[in-house]
Amino acid sequence: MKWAKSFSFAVVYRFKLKVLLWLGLVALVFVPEKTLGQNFLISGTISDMVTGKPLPGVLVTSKDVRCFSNERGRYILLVGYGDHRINMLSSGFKDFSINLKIYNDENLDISLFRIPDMALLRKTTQVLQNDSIGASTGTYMINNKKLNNIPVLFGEPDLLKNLQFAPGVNKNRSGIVYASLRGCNTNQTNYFVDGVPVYNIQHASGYLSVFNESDFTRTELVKSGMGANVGGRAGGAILLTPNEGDTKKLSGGYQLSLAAFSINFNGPIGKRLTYSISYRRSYVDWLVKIDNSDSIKNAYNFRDINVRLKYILNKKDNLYFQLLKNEDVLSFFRKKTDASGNGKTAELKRDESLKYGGYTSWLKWEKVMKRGYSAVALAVNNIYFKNAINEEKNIIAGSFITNITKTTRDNLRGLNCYGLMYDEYKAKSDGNLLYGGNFWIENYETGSQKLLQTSDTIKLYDTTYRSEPMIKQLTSSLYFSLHKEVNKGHKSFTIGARLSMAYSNGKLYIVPEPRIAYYQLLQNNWHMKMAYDRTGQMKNYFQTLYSGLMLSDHWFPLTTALGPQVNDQLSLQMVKTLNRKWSFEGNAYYIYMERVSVANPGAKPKNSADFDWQRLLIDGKGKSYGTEIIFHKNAGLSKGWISWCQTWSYRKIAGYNNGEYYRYSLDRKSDITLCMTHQWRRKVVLGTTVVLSGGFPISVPIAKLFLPQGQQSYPNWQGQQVLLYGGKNNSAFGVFKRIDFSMNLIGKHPDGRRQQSFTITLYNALASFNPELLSYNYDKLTNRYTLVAARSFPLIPSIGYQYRF
Amino acid sequence: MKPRFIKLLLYNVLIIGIIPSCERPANLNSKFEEHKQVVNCLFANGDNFYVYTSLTGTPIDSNLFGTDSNSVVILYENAVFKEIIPYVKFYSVYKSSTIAKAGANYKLEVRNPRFADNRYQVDAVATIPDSISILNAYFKDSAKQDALGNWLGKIHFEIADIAGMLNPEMFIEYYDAQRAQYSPILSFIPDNNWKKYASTGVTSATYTISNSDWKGAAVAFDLYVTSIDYNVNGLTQFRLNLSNLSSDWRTYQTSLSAYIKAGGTDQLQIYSNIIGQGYGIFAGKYVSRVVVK
Repeated sequence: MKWAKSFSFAVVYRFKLKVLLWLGLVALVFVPEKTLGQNFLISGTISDMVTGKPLPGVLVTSKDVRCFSNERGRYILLVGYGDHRINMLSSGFKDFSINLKIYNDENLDISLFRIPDMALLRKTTQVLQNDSIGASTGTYMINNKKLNNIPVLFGEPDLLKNLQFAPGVNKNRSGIVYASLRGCNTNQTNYFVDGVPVYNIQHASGYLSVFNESDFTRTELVKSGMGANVGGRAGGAILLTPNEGDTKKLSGGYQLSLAAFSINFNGPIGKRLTYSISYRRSYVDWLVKIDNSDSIKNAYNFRDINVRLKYILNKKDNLYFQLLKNEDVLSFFRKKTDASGNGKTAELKRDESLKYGGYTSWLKWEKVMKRGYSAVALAVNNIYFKNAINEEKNIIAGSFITNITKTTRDNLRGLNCYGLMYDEYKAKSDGNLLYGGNFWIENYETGSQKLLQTSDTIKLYDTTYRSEPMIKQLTSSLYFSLHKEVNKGHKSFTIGARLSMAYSNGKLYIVPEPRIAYYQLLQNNWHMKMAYDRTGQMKNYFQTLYSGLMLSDHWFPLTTALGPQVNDQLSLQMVKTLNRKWSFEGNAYYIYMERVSVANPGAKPKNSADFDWQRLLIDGKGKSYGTEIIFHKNAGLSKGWISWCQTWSYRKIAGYNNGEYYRYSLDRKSDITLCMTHQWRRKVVLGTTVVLSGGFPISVPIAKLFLPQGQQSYPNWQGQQVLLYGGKNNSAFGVFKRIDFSMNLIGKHPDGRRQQSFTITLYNALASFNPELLSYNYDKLTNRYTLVAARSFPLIPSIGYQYRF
Repeated sequence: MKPRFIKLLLYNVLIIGIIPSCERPANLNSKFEEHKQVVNCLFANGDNFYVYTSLTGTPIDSNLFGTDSNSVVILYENAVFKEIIPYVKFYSVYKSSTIAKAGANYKLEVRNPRFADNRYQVDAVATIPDSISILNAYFKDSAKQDALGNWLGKIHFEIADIAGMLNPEMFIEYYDAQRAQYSPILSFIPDNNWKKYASTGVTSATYTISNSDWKGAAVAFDLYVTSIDYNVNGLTQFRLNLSNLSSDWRTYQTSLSAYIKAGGTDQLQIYSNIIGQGYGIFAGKYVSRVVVK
């Protein structure tokens, strides 16, 4: 049975399906309560002793039971009656153990002691970064502080660019932050901060992300085996955990790189409120003036601000507020004067600005309950692209200025979303239950133009063009996920489902998304995991590069022609802890993509009355499969991973490649990546990343011809030149190879809080020529064209400085 | 750090980094195709066959083989030899003396004697689709005024059994007395989408279309034209061309339009129905013409 058929089946019988899912959800919420038995609950929060900030990813164990603390540092452990030794282990912190006699539920809040000297880390227990006990197959957790020391472009640490080195992330063009997970489209990747989706992720045409490294503590990359709570896009997810404010005293820091400077302050206000505020801005426009004269001025900058507040209402209730705001501004100014010779001068002034950015903000109320916690959040999301042009034509005669015309033109495209979200987590005697839902009102500005033209005081035009009125789309999803552990955790499975719905253009779209995962501990410490995920996406996406400089993302609602994108993924993972330092991970997966959308051939978005945004995209099918083999080094002075990924990714779109499957542009075969840091001296950490992969697929014409021209010819021919391709992406550039090096000089104050670091980076240290673009150059001497490849970045040396207190 | 130092550093990065980011001849694993025969011929009932032949070149060639005058172009009608089409130098095209008939099957064979290799022998087959007709066509002068008070003329026509037509296309021209020839006004596909398109009242400087409506099996269209366009030298004459395209023609037209729209940069394939080692199109259409005054 094709899943496409099941979709139409679901639409027809959606009511019955909804009733069944709701009944299942209700049964799962109430029935398992009876099976709690004689187990007791140990729960609490784990935090940093120095800063008071919660610690995520801490391994908590007792006999055969164990769990990890979540992004709030919260953990819940269910144990039997009797004596227990509770152990808490986290990299960079001193191991903690306590003996408890359990005869009732216990609350245990613990602060771990940070080890100030990096050299001592060798003597502590290291925690495997990738979750080896859950049933999730493709989760990859990254401690952001560890990635601080790997080489970075322009000396600016970037969370999303660091992810490009993770196995299963198809390498994008050099330095671009968009992540294609396992060959899915980049727009299919979810970006969540504290569980709230974020739309705008990039600055500087994609070379930097909006996520300032100092504002986030942990990045979780989920490629498969997703929990039912993760959804909204058809691909995997990148989950970011925001940095909580220091609960003890004022702390923060600043950072300077070639790209930008940033500053952060966080701390407590009274006993109940903590805050974290940071600001980042590029400063190249202050230092380097390009063509900066009276007649020509160009400027570019980006900035972002992040505010996070936490208010403790009581022991069980916390309020969180977050604002993430970012913007890129590119401006041009031109002034041209033309003396006519009769004492008059014609003057033309044109001032143009491009603004691209957005904000995400939410208010979340989190409640800790006896056997779990719940969270309800109100969120608002915004992404916009604005292009404003002010043009003035004047005639100057002596001191008299006659205004010929004054034109103001504003183009706008964007998306506003307002959402309500609810999540609840319940610990069970043999697992846990997670359920919730969300509802979003989405307003799409698909493209409008306002034009005002005056001559002296006469109004010539005052028009607002809009291809269609603001389009409203309602989306909602309900989900549940039941996790059960069997045989003392040697086996576990997770069964969940998500029901995604959208009401758009008078039509209801429903995508049922089952999620199943199975885990088993095999002999010789091998872990085996399998998962099936179905993920739906209720919106479409188009990307433009305006004026060849500003990359912008545009979102569109579902239409009759472009329905929900749906991906089905089957994945298998084998994990083995080889010894105290090394672990092995092997993955295999197959993804089938239904209604995956790509840019319609020749689509050129413009903001005018005749613009039809629905023609921007065209959908088709896709498939992606491959294997990933990774060796992690989790302990010792050298840490990191080396991975080998053999992947294939294809698309099948009507109009392309004669309707046959072709290689997706981010398809990377045989990708070998090394990402390591090494504590060379007490104050010196070295970092390197090595990438060796198959080159970019590219379409190369194999022949050309001229269409006829003449009085009797077909009107569309006009004698024009036609390039003939053997197929889309019929060729590929050579092997992509890049080696980056970094040296981090770290100075720490004995108090363990103050720290400064100076980083020297060599990006593409061997200056490898990695072509990314293909063009033709005409050679007059030979009277022939030459195919020419161009690259974006050769060797880029950079420095960065960071101070923390 | 002082701003001057940072500025110096940035300039150094620009020099070291961006300037060497030059281009190199591409090292690709694809090969160019050898020359192939190109044949293009689109014909309609009542017209001669105009056949254009040429050869493909490699993408790096600046000069291509233009129209080839040495080819042997053979036309068959209903599987019977009809003629070897002669080359007409004045038009740079092979022009047949045979007039295309509705309902007949045609086959075209093209051989290039410059190459002994039979790779340069291609053929193609085509048929003119079913006949169609325009009903109740008329022109009415000064039919209504636009918002600015200008008088508009109305062209009215109806199309019978539009639902039964595979690939209808309407092409409207006006007679330009100064140039003594018909010039185009509008081309469109008269189907359901047209109805939606027309109902939005699309207006331009030259024409306004509105009030199209279904009438049983027929569709009625009203096309409003400004006086500037139709009242040239006091002569008012319009030619309505309703075509029924063959499937090959429509597929070719769609792919060619997409290619032109994409600027040749999106690796789109232009449809070809040439059999053998070649490219091009050989397709027919049925045209019904009505002149209204």
